[in-house]
Amino acid sequence: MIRILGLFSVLLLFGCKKQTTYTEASNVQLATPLINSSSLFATENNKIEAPYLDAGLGLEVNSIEGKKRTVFNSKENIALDEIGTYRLRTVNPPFLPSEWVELKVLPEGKAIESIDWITDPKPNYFKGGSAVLIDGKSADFSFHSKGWTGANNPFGLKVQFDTTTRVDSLTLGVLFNPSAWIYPISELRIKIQKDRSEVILKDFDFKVEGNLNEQKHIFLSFAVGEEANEMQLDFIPKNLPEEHTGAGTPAWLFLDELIIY
Amino acid sequence: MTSRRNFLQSGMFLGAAALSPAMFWECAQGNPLIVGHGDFTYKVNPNWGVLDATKTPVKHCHEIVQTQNGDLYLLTNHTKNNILVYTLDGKLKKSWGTQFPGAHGLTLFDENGTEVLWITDYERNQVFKTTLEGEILLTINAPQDLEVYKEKRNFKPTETAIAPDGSIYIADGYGAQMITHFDPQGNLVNAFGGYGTEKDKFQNAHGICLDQRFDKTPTLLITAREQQAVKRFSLEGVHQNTISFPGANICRPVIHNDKCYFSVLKSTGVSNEDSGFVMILNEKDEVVSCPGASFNETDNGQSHYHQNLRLFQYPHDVCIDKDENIYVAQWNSGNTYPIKLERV
Repeated sequence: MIRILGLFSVLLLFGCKKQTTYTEASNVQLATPLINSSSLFATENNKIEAPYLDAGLGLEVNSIEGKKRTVFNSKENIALDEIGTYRLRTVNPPFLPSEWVELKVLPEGKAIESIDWITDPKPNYFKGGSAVLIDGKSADFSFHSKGWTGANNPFGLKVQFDTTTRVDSLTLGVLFNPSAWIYPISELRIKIQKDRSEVILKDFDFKVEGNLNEQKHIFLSFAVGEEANEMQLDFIPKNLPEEHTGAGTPAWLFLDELIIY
Repeated sequence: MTSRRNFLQSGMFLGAAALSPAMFWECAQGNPLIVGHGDFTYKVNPNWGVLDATKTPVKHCHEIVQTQNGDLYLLTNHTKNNILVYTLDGKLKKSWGTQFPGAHGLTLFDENGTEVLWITDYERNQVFKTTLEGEILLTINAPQDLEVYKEKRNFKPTETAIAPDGSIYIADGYGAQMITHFDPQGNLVNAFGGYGTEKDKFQNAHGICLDQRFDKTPTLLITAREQQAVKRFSLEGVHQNTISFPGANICRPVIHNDKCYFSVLKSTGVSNEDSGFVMILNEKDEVVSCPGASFNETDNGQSHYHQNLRLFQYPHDVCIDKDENIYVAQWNSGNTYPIKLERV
């Protein structure tokens, strides 16, 4: 018996040594899913959109910071009706879960009557026109999609309200994708007009920090605190920063949303 | 069409399905993941070809080809050793090349019984024909007779395809997006393509190969990587058709037997940039397998390809051996060596 066991052990060891070590499912992470929301704002009608989610994947949703954690079937409609950040990832054991995808859900902004370019030529990327900036919809990560407006030279927008409106702050949705030289680093001059008599200027500089290999969708807020009938926004993209391989050349600024609070 | 879709979607989880019937000896090593679909499934061997990086380093591993004797030639832009020659079992046989900082395209051609290599260098704005030992036999410079190449820096060649008569087609994927045709002595014969969205133009004419399958008149398959498409042209430069692969930024076409293989550098619209995979087409130009990926049919009836497992980091080329194993060379993957996909 001992001889048989010994022989078996030798055969097993020999056999194992000859085998190649292959990648195991438990060491492989699921790909980050493409997930979006039907609206940027917290409403009962705001749902998760996951057009390319494969059958069989579970969708794990962490709603507003720490409040609840639930695993949903990906086919279920999940209302994104709370203000805050939802975190989602796909699961399918034994694979490692995907990276988390964050969906920001914002309070609805104030009504804007119109928004138009004031620069000619228009930005290099403007497939969806200026209206996409106030459509209440987050663009996906592809800067080619019509949800984005992008330029690497100065451009301006005129925002008009139907009545005098108190503007506490302005929020901008921007894309951070340094590998495509899309880097939110810019000057922003806001020219506020009230009753066509008074003009107030507000100047800002902004730069989003992050890992140069990542892509993310960021919302930037700028305090205004003025009454306005009309606002002119002038963006002057700066050069890519020192840490970028394209340092010294103009950065691309991509916007997908403008919200007034 | 429906059956093919279902076939691919069900195949996505072959990896998980393969975990259950574990054999005893497999338990000692764990359960190998199986990727791909249908008849084209693979085990992933990440250890093939891994070398001592202090002695034979790589930067971007751009392309890989196999010679008649079975050796695999890997092209990297690391100028300590632009070419690494592997035996089939992943051992280093030799290395050479220190003069190609922009080494990118690698094509093997059998020239009357003697195999030669064609290397494109987009930093030197040149294309080189070499022996398998690295001796340069011919250099092609920017064709400055063409207006677009008055400045040679506009010529950033990414790939070559060699016709049976030895004439050379060069894809300028990082430059002016022209396809230039030279005779075997390196004299310009023709030029077509250029940057644009028209059917006969390119956005990132990254890869090119000669398609001589099925006893048809040979044609050129040229990838338009940013357009997620491959375009078929006659050897005279007339566009014939375009095949789109939404979501798949394909590098170069690689024909093996009656199939066409692509590395997909990345997908688009996803948050992780390293979203690449491998794609295999049958003789009807239909996708039959996507190791590392799956696809969904969207509401408008189009297919959308996307990574489902994070196995690869920017796959840049594939090479298929006689046993139909796939060697995947990767760009910007942290100086890693190729990954071998072993056919199941």
